[in-house]
Amino acid sequence: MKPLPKSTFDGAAQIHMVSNTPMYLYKHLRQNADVSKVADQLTTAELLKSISFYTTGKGTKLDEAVVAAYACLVALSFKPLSEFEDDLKALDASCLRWLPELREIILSQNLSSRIEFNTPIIQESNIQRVNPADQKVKGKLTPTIWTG
Amino acid sequence: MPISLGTRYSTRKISLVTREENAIDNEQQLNLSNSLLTDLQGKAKKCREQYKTCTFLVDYSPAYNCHGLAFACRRTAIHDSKDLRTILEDDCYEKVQDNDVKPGDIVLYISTGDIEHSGIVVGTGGAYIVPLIRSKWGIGPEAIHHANVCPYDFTYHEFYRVVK
Repeated sequence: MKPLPKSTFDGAAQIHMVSNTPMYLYKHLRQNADVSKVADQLTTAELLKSISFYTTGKGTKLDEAVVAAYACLVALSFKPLSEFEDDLKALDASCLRWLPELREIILSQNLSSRIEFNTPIIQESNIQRVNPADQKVKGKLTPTIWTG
Repeated sequence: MPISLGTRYSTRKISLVTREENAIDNEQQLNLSNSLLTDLQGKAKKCREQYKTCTFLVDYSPAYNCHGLAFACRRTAIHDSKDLRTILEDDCYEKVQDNDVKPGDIVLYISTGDIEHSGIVVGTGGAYIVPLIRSKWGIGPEAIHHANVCPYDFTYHEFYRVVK
């Protein structure tokens, strides 16, 4: 397997350096744009392969191995839990000292999907001017949330 | 006995207990490879560039973290919030109100129950609207900084002092 470019993990490396607790590491990696990008670009199977590459494969020799493995682990949390739950529970990587804590956080938080709100742009041209006196409730109001 | 993690670094624990003899889990990272040290140096430089108003005293040290600085005299790293609560309880720390903070008090940065950072107050009052803190940023730099100028969220914080 070919490693991801080292620069992919520059932001994650900075977060890793200043992390005092596993929760801080998880929270800030999850907010990191590069980690989100890795989650978008790689499938669950590719992420699992990458974690294995950086923790037990040839990738362990790379300087960024630990940070890359943590980043891929957190990237997994963007995927549906059913796709990686068993692999995550079985994962054994002594080089990741916070693996047990991160595993627990990911499994307990189960934040496997992202919710996006599509808010229409409000412009002067599409505002309907209504006289309050004429307002009547017609039918049932059904708010819509788009998830993706 | 140090545990070796590949060729990159090794770790070991030291004996650390509270006044009530509760053991505190801890970890020193030792014998980092030259390439990791160079890497850390580069990241520490980035911190200096990002936080220009802070005074950096140590570029990096994997031997201790913020909690190790605040509660174990820079001898080791402590990661577990439960252990920190045990120290606060066993070692007779009491909460201090923001308007009563004095140099030497401990500040905790708290996020959803996790004590994500701690430091020692080194300056209050006068020109300092928020206290000046001396703290260690993970395995990276040790710095003097305003409480709200660092990689940690100061929104939810608590100050503590040993009272007996």
